[in-house]
Amino acid sequence: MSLILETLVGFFSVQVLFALLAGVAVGIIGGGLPGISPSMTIALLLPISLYLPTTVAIALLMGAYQGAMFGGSVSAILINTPGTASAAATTLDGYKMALNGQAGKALLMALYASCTGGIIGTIILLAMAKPLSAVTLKFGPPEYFGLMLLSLALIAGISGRSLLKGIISASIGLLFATVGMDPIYGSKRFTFGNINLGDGIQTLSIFIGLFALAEVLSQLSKGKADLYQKPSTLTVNDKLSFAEYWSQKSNMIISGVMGALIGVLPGIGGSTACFVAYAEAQRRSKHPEKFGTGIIDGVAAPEAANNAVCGGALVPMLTLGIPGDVVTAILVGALIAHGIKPGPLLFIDDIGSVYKVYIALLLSVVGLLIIGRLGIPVFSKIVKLRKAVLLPLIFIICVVGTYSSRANLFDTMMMVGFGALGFILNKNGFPIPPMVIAFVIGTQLETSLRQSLLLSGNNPAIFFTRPISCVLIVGAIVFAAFMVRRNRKMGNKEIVVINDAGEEEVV
Amino acid sequence: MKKVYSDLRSGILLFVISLLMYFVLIPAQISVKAGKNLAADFFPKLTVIVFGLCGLLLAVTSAYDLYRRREQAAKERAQGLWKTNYKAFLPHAIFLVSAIVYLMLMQYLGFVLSSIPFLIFLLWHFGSPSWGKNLVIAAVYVPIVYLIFSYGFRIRFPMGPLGF
Amino acid sequence: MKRSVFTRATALVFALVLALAGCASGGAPASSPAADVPQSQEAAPAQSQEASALPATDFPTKPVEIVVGFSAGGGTHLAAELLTPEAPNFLGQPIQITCKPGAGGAVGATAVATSKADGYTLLYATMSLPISLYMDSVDFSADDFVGVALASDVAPALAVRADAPFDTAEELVEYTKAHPGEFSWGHPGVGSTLHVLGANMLFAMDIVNDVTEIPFAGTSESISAVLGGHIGGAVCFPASLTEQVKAGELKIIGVSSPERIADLPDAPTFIEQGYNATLTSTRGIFAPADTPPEVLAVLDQAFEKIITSEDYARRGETLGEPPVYANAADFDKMYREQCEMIEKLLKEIGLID
Repeated sequence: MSLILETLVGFFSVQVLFALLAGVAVGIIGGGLPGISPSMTIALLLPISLYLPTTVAIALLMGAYQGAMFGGSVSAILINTPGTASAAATTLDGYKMALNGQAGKALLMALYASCTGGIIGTIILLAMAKPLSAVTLKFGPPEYFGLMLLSLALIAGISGRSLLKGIISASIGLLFATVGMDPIYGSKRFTFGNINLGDGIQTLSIFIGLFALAEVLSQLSKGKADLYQKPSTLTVNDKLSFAEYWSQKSNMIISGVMGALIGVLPGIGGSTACFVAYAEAQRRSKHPEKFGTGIIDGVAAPEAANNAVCGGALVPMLTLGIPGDVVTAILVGALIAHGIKPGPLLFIDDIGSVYKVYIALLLSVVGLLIIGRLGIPVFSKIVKLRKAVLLPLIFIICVVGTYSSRANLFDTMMMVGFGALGFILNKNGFPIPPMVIAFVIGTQLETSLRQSLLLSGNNPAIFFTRPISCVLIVGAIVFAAFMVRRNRKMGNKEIVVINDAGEEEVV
Repeated sequence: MKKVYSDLRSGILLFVISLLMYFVLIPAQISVKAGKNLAADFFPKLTVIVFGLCGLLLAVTSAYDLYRRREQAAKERAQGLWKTNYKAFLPHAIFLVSAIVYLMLMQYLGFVLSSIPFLIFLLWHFGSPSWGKNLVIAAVYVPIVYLIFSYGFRIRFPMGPLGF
Repeated sequence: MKRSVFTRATALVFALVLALAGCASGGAPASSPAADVPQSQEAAPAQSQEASALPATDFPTKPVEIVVGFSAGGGTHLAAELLTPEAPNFLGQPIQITCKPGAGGAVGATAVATSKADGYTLLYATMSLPISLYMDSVDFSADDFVGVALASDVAPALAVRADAPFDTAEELVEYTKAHPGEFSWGHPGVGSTLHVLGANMLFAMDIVNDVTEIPFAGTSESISAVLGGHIGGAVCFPASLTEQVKAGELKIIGVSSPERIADLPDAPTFIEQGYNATLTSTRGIFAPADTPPEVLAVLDQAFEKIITSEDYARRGETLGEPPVYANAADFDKMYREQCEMIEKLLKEIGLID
């Protein structure tokens, strides 16, 4: 007990607290800039952290991790551009809220949900690290396949009005996921001889193209005069009341727990967690048809989930020395450089360092709250710009963002292509989220299917003889059936929408 | 009803694409090695079959819907309500083409030199009428973005003749 | 109302500026500014006689870029970053690392192969460079590069669960012959260095056809699968294994190396068990083939000083990098030999036909 207090006191020095806040600030900026992923931000801070004392370094990096997971939502909400892949689901309701003049409310909800999720993730880490790591190890290829199938089943829920079109979108997304190298044989698929496609289509190109650029294109339809209008300054209920925050408590807790558990599994991270949490919140909700029109539930769920991933991803990293994603892989390097060796012996030999990580994670939530509150009024000013000016500026950021991850203009060209595709899909009523989530889980889905068959000698029984995978697959089928039924019920309610031409239309 | 008609078109298009993919593109792009596991083209073929069949289903249900309400359909069609106004998409086409040109030029001119003129053009294209104001916006914004990403996040941009 | 926004904006900008200042200077914290280093250091007589026979050059006059063909933050990137802090001292200019990941290092390699051969664009590559020449269809050939310096040399190991029914390579061979097809092993991807080196180990033990090979997305996933009992073994670099071995969760069947390695002193090598698998994974710096010899000489000397410096060794140790170095001539020879050997090896193992 005294060790915990000692470590805690060690955190209350100017240097450590400053590093924490600076880390959060840099994380938010990195997360908010499309194309700068959380892993790039942390990779950037890594060389600096090597020369700092251990506690300061840990504070810096944890702050940046949490900050980046929140930062992605800033651009997701304001300009429909997910700043990080884990904020993609936040665009669905967050951007709509911004369009409705409620950008401030959306940002505040995102912030508070992120902090809540961060706390939940930390609690799960603290309380259940050891048992969770044992469960993690039980997840082999068949179990991963079951989990991916379950995530795919949730697509039925985010398909909007037409399940058929949702399935079409999803299958196209799966097809895009196959571009690149076959995971088992290494043979090239759909690369057209182009070396840049050797690793497949870059996630960022798809995300930014389908969300941001498609939106820019659809705004272009409004015409020059309309775009040059100064946006109306009516502040429509832009603050977030405590009652509203509290109304989301069960949503945030459940989403946070889901996010943390998803983060625990190596190889799956924020981008899957945010969609799963969103779809699950929609499924649970008493008014699922409102999701996608701009409600705080749709922002709270993914944001709580993606920050909870931080805590979850640290579970296998600390207990087994196995990083769960690219960010934790870099964190492992940083810890080793400070003489902390993550692994099974860490809890026995060096529990003090474990406490440092836990406390840093908790305090980073506080840091996020402080910096976020300072920053939000500044960020929301962005929506005050005329669209005619804002949209081209957004496009430049999209270009830079998609170029940044691989220093490769090919990825930017791909983004343009996907922007056009997204625009066409929107015009014809095909939903985009199923395509995106299918793309994200597609590779893992196919890989685990084929790995499982390799292990079992092509015997499909392997999925059903193992308890966890059997439960997951059956659960996926049940879920899918449930979602189809829900979708049918939803389909009977008519919704009146203002379409592009400004007329009312029954959808 | 226009929506139903557009669904019909989408459905047919998807079905045709799925056939093309299954019989032409997949064999061309994927070399199938004999092996213990599922073939490399198993998954792609599966997804193509799914969207092909769904596209067919979409086309069929739309066609049926059009047939059921054929009187209203014929009326709307005669009124020309189903015409796709392709000219309305001219600004989009210009935007996309100019974007491709911009990206190709970036390799020779470098980020800053290619982005400033492109941004000026884009601002005008999106409705900001004053060239002077656009110039100021572009000349301030592009260097700031460049500095933040290149010095702040150490991204190496394509180099132009002036070294940036 | 306006004033509070202004204050917040200022605070945010202040934090931003501080953060950026921190990031910008973070690249070279312990080194002296480039201007201090006199140019004459480069033109001074070097150990090799060739330097005095070459035309004088004032290379480098601007920062040198090293391209890494793997993702930022990964093992190869971190190893490349070991070169940067000492660069202004020994090279006279800072080194900037650019990560161009893709196709197992091939995207980065192509970028350097097609760049101007003036010494300002170099490649930091692993053994995946010769591997990709033969396993992949790439736009460059072995002769497009010339070796400049060997920076790292890591030996892979085959690890299995501590409770597996075999302790040595021989016992593993017996087991797989008795139960063909049961033992499965994981590696981080088709065509990766660990895949090829792992296949080489199995080939040396002559059990390639009796085991099942399972590709994973990365080393962590394969280690996780071994610990969970889903696969029998995994081929990894020691840095990923030491903690698990110390904790008694994993045991090493063999290390592919000519001698035992410092990180795993109790782990037997394959060669000492009678199986000829001694290949290790090298990492080094390459330059485009047409780079002028005087420029190469400058790079050669500079990297020698950087890589053999105490500072480099110290920082490398924390990453699990053993201290190795070979100069341009030796490394280039090593590289050519590797290319030949890899081609033969891949054909023998059956990875290419």
